[in-house]
Amino acid sequence: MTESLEFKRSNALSMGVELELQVVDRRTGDLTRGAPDLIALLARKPVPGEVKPEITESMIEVSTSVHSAYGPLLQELQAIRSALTAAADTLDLHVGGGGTHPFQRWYERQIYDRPRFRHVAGLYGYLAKQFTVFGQHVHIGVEDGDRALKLLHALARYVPHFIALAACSPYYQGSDTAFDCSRLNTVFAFPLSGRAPFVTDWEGFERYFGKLRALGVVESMKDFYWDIRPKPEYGTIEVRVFDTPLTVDRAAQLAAYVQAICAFLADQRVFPQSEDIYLTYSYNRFQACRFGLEGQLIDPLAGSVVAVHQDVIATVERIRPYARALQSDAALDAIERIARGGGNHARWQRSVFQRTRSLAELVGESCEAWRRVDATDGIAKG
Amino acid sequence: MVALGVLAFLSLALGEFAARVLRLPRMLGYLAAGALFGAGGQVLDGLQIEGPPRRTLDLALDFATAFVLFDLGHRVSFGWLRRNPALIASSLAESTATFLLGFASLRWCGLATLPAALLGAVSIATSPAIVLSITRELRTQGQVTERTLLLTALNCIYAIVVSTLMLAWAHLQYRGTLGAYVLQPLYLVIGSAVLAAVAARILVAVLATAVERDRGAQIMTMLALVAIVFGVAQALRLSHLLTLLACGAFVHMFDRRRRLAGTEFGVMSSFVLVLFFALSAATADFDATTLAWGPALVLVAVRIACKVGGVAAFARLSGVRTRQGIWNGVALAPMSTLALLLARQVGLADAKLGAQMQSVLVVAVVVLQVGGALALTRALRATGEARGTP
Repeated sequence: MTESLEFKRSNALSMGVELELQVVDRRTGDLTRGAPDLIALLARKPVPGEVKPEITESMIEVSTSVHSAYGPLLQELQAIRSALTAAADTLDLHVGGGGTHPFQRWYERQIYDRPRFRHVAGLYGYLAKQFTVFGQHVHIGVEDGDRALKLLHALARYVPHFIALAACSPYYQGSDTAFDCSRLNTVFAFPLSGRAPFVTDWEGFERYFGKLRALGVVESMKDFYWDIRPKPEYGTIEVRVFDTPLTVDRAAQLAAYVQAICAFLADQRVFPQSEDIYLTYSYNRFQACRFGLEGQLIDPLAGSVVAVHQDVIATVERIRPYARALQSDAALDAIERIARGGGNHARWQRSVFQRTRSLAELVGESCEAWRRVDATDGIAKG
Repeated sequence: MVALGVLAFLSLALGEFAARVLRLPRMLGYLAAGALFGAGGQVLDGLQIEGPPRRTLDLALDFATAFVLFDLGHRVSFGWLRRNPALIASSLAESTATFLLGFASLRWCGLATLPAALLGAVSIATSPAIVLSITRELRTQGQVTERTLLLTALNCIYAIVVSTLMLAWAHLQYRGTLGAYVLQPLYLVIGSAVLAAVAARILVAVLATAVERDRGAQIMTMLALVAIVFGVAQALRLSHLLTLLACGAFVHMFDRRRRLAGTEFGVMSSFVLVLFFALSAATADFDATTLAWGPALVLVAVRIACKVGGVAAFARLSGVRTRQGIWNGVALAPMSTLALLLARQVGLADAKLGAQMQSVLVVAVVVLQVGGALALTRALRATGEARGTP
């Protein structure tokens, strides 16, 4: 299976969202093998966006079409949410967000019967079943491969923001992990995870890819589990560090935040000159996963330290004009509220557990938050 | 006691044998053990071991049945019917067809109206014990599993209510008054529901305050409740079967904070199920010379056809493929020992009628317990809902 790495041109700053979602048994709150039935039912009538299977039978992935603005993106996500909710009701299932399921047992998961998933399961063993974690991917359109790679490396600095704002996986396998985002720890177990190599032109990237393919390490771009990866067939770069939030509203806000940052970076031509930007990358990422918005960011070039939430607030200020031009002011307001004390969904989940002392109930409330239509600012302030 | 111990031991041994060597559902092993035990009455006599008194066995079987119905009621969510009304259509279709066509075919076989109607009514019920035991043993998940459990709970309710109405009719025909025809079933259905609701409220309240964290204590509390409700229902001459099924459903409904969500009855349930299958086979008494094979086999065929047809007809409307609907109908094949219990109640009121029913039912139940268990297993495998256990 060879794949052309030609970078398909797409409109700059266009965006699309993919969400991996949990398929939950209404009665027990545990994950259940509902994906095949859910997908079959949704296939019967036209649904906005696209619904696809994922690695295990307790997951589905939905994706939006390509949008240039936050408003229509949010609308499509809401329409997808309604269609999913209706289908889930018919089958007595719950569908919901969250980066991890709080108490499922990974060894009870069943691999979805598709050649690619069987291949992944054969190669990675138990990692494949542990990969029952749920992320949001945001695609941002770029005109060409060179710009895509420059943008990718410029965005790396903001990865801790994305992790902390979206973090929604504090509970895993039945206990509190102390992390706001425990999901990425599961992703890091894969050999081709982490960051993309510091290559800033598309030709160089094709050479890199060619070498790895010749060595038999990869077959396609799909084999890379990087935090941000180029997606040449879509003409996008794909940010993959978000936990799936508990509401589609927050999913749209996060996408708009990435879009506005990209607009700022492209306009100001802020592109990293040296691989030194990655000196503190893993450490910062860990801080964001572990402590969320309270994590410490070390700027490797300036040597300064700042809390994630402060850096988010500063960034919001910097990119505000671009958001205004992109008509995503409202999304940026919401991001600012999260950073100014509203908190991420991991915090909300912990507060629910504090109150109820029950992970099953946490799942129930999370799924109800997902279906609540009037959620304008994510969910109620934790 | 020795005899009961022997029965339990034999059941477990044959259950393991069925599962490991024959790759069949364990419950078939339990049934076989019970049958051996029942047939072995003479052997026990020969060994000078005193068998347990018949009344004790009957009571134990009754209690086990009630517990299984409570378990089922708690397991299914009736709220699903609100979200997916096509399931009600599906349930009514398969049950009405089973009742009417079962009745018609038995009349065609030459049975009198009353026994034919009663047999039609008790044939509506799918065996809760077989459905629970096999879905748990195979650890199945999916639409066919969930729907089989829900449709089973519903058709057990219909069977109990309709057969009770039939019995009331019998009372009227022979010696009753109009009051007995109308009031008795009303008292029975409403009274059972009220008792069930009250008991469920109390249970949820107790569990919420007293034993919230301790799974073991939760299960013991539930068991105690089942025992009390069982006794009270009998004392009030209500249907203890209907009451416990409803009680399970109310517990599910009232437990809004999902305190009991993860509570499978686990060990307790397995124990009761073993007991149930073994006892149901051990206590089945019949006169082999009077068995009505012809009508019984006709009933078996008609019943399966109605269940498959009724469920499959509404499959797409209710959100699954027709193929899943057909397997879902097949999965409803296991016939319930409930039918025999109901027939026994008929026998208490009218011995001749009871015997007439038994002669058909024994054959149908034996065929549809063994065959039904295999059909259910096949259905769950064919739809990919079993996890690939033996």
